[in-house]
Amino acid sequence: MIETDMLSKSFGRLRAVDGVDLRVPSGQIMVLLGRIGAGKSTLLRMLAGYLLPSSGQMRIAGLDLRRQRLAAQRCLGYMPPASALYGDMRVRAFLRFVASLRGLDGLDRDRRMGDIGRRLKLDEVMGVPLSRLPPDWRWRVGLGQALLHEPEVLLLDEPGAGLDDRQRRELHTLLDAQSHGRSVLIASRQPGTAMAGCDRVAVMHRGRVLVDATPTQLLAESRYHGAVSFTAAHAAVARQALARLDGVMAIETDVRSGRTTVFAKPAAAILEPVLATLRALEVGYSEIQLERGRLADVLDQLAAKAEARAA
Amino acid sequence: MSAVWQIYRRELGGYLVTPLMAVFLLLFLVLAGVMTFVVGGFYERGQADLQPFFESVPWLFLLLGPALGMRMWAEERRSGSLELLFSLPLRSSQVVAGKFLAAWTCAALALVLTMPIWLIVNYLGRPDNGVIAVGYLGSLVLAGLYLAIGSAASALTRSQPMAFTVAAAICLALLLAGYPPLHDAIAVAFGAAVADAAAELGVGDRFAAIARGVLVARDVVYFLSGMLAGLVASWLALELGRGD
Repeated sequence: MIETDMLSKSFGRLRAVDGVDLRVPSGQIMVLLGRIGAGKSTLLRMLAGYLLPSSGQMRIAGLDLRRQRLAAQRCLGYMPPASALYGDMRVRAFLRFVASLRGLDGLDRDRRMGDIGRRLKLDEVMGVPLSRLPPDWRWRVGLGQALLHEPEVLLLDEPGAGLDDRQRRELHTLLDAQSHGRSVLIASRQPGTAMAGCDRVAVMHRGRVLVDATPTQLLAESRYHGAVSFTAAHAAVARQALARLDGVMAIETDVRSGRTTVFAKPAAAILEPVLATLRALEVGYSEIQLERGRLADVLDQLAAKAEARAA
Repeated sequence: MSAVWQIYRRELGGYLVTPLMAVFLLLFLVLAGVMTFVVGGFYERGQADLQPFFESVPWLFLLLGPALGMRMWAEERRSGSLELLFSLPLRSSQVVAGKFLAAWTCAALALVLTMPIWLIVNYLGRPDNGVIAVGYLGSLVLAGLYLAIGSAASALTRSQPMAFTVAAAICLALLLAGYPPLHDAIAVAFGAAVADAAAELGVGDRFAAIARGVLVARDVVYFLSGMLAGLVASWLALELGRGD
């Protein structure tokens, strides 16, 4: 369980984290989503015991991080950004170093390292220096060191940074497999991370949590929710015809991708009418899909509203 | 103790695989040779002792001490690995001790590598080996003092060159504090009491006494308390850095 009460952190006059209340129960994955400077990493660093809060409370597995820091740190695994690992060490030596500092020794340490090696497929790189590993392997090692002691709480800072789509999908699969029964908190600026198997998303902006909701609830807030997008050879013709449909609120065509999006009025279902119209027009459409919504769009909307309120 | 040992091992490994460490060690040895045999007139003096070498030691460690100290914290802060280290269930004091002892071991290694000079003087004459042993011991505690200062400077910044410069400046000030022309200048500017107090803080005279084989408790306490002060300052800088 991860709990924070009115947690704040200031650096001089900058309030990096501002009165954050969070609860992440066991078995739940929460993503802290926000732009650079939103306060996600600072929040994670406080929860990892690296930074002290300016005010507020934080508990890891029921232990107060201020009063029982060492005991709380024994219950958590923290994965910093991939660059923060010791590049001069080989993977085996690095894992052994972290395991020893976590109090694992002898056969127990070897068994845990072997287990992590198998689960994260690290066996083939055990003898390689960390600085020579590509980013996707470095985050595997980072995840491995965080899991060595089977912690109740897992804190991951930007796990998808620097990875391509395939590597990110692999990461999500691995994370999903390793998260069972733990409280997992992931800081990410990539909406794709939030969509992949997490239970809740907390959107952060200027140190505050603006929204704490399920991905489905958040997507429903997107203006793309319920929209229909497609690619057509004669987009202008299609747009003219679709604009006359009852449930259609607006139509946009992205200049770079050539993709047209038809936005629905609230509660209107437009997929069938749009499909029927496109078939009738014979405009050569393809890749048609009903949009669930876009988290990046929700993020922009929430940030704009917060900025307007602040102004 | 186990945590200190683990950190000590990691840090020592980190130093020994760094090419820069080899460069600094080589430079230290070359300069030690030049200062002893060329500048110090080892052969011309006709005396079986290591005074020319020990006279150069405070200046040689002025280079090696800050060089070893600069990477202790600044590099960890820059790369972000300090975050990982402090997310582990460790006390800051354990990390400070482990890192300091590793750097001190490297300084000791540098001194061990100069021991052929000791062999040479034994081959050429009959030196007082007790005096030389005390001189080496003094060199080791002097290195410890410089390293503790280097550690504190490194804990205050992310920049290694900045940490080196600050540490070297402080060590130089300590070295020159008892130097007569500087003493006189301070006395003229601020009065004799200030000049005497500054000289009390100086390293030069105390180390020179140890190098001559004069080991007094006051000097030993000076070096050990200076070392402790540097380490406490490092610990304090790290703890304050967590809450800033």
